[in-house]
Amino acid sequence: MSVRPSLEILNYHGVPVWRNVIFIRYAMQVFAALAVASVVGFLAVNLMNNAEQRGVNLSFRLLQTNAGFDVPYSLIPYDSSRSILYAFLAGLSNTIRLVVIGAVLTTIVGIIIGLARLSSNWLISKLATVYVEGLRNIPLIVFAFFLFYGLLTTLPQTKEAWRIPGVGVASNRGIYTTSLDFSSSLVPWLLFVAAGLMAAYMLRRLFFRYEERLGRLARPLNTKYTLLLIVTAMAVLGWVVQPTAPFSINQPVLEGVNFRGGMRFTTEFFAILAALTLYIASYVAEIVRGAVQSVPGGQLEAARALGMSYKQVIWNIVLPQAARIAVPPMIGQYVNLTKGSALAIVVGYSEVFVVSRTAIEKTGLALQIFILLIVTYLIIGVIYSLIGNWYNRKVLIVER
Amino acid sequence: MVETITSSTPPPRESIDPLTWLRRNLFSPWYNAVLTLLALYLIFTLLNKAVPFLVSAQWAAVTTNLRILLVGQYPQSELWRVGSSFLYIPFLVGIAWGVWGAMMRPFALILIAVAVGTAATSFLVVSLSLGFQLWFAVSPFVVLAGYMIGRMDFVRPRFVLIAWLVSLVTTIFLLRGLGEDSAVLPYVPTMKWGGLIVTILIAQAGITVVLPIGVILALARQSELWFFKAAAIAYIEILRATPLLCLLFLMLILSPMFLPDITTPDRLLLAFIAIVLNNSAYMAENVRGGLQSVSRGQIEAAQALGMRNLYVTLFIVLPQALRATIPAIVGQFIILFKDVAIVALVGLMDLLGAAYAIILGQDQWRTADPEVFLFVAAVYWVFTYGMSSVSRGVEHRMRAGAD
Repeated sequence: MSVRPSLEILNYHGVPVWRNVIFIRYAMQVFAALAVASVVGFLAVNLMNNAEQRGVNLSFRLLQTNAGFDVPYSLIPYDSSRSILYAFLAGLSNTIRLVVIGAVLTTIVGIIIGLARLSSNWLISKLATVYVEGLRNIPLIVFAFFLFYGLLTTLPQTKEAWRIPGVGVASNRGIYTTSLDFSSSLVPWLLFVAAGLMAAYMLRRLFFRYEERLGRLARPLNTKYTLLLIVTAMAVLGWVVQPTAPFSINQPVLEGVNFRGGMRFTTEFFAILAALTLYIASYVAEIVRGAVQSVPGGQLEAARALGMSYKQVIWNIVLPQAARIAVPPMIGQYVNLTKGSALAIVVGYSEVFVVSRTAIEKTGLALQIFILLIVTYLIIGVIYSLIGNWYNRKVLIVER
Repeated sequence: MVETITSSTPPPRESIDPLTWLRRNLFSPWYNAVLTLLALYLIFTLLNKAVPFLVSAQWAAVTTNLRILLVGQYPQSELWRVGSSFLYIPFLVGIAWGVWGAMMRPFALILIAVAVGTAATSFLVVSLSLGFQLWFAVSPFVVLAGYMIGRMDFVRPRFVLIAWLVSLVTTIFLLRGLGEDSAVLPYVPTMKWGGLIVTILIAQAGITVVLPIGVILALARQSELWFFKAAAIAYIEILRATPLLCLLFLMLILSPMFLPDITTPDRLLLAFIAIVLNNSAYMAENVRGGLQSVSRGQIEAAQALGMRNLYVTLFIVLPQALRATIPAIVGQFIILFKDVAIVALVGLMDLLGAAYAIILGQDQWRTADPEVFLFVAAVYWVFTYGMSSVSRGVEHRMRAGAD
């Protein structure tokens, strides 16, 4: 063993140093590092000079000063006396709201359209094909412009609002959906329901043991209806014994010139949500279709031949295999959804990028806010890839 | 003894009369009948809304502004430069059709159909200047001329690539011009470029540089040298996590801070760099997938034969890796093409930006937004559909080659 590798490298078996692989490798890296460092240094020197000349403060402490601008809508309470950092968080909360609702809707719409493409019904499958091919081949931003202008100019006055009975109303003052109002008796009621579920679970295990001793099925005692009955009974009991109902249904009603009650979504939120959902659903539909088609037809026939019911085939043969194929690209689409939410700048929904843009305009702290924004996006990206890796490990096919 | 079947009759062809077809495809179990009726209702409501709109729409918003949508504010007297240099598009499509055959045919036919259609309608209704009419009338013939050249024996695929590069450089040179006071080619600043030609130029230049950068990044990420690996990972992960829109604003807002005081960077160039940075990170990941698919044994065999590492990468790994990722690469090109539309949000005049300017800038077309955006969507659709049909052709060909 050599104690002095550095000297060894310089004269390794008589190979001159410029042809020595180890030396070349080090030299290449040092050279590349110098190149990168000089570019970064050039930019940094310019930055220092420019900042000094224009009197720009590059301190991150400034993010804690008063924002002084308004954020039109926020999930967390916000007013303009809060700090810039807090305004950023308010924007982030709006992004999360958009992404969560968008992800659920995108998945539902995408699965419906993907399955429609696979339908044996010629008309349905052709309609789904037109939808997918129509949307996938135009840019999201063009679709969004089309939708924003179309939607925001055609939404009616509150008097002639579009209504879907029981679901909600849409007018140019915003979209109102039916919502649930929770009272203080919600938690005790949920405890009742949980107790019912527990009891049903225990009972089911007891039944199984009883059936094992009996040697035959204990019908009609052991069916899902018995268990459902227990849970329902507990839920009803929890509702009746308390003085107030745990929740009530709140429907929007027209009062004067605007609606009251229900859950309110602004038209801006609705427009960006609709654009992202409808567009990304066309990608999700293709993922779903590909995943279902990837399950070989022979497997379905084999399962049917073994006597599995149609439902069993779907749940135990198709779904697990299709999910393994579909989930990684689906996560990619959720990432696209998150990044696409920046397009809210067109309608002005106060999402994190839009708030950052406002903050840069109002306070001039461009560098700090952009760094904050990129770090935020990086963290979001890491979270998504952690979820993806976790899922991949979980469903990895264990080979010999 | 094993009997071999020497001749077998093919399975009898089922002849289906329309009624059976209807029953089988639209009404067979009861729920399909319900679905069919629902679909018919949906189609009826959509047509009920769409047909009156399409008939009464102010298509004049598109037809009178077609020049702006195609070339933006490019000076009228210098339009011959645009027209002559952009004839390379039909020529390239034609020669590619000649060289690669069936794979490129849909794209070429779509281009011919669009050109003939535009030429025909422009002679009848549209108030396009004579130059434009001539361009659209001539370009189908240019496609055919390109096809003839492409069919010749000596024309190799690499000629198409060279033509692609040369045409790109000459077009940019012609559009820019020489100097302020040049008599032949006066300088036209990029702020005056606009419309479809900007979209095409950004996309073509982007496609040209994104693949090499992506390959280099992917190789660096796979490298055993830690500095290259770390730098590539940092580049790819940061740029993949950031939305393109954010990057675009960052480049435009922060570039004066990071550059020496005297330079004023070109906004179009900055937007182009943002698109390239973003897409090359994705491209690197696509190529990396291909690199990983090349089996270790291939590399070891090449090394055992005494090949240098550089040659192993260039002649053994990369050809196989790129071949395996052609569909993903073309997919990324399509994404890049669609990404160009985002530059409209920072006030640049690409196709979408020009459309936006028409709606916002001209009072008479303020309510014509569906028409103008539909036109933009249609243009994008034609290009992207053409590209994805090429991609399908490549995949088909690769599958055929593998058997």
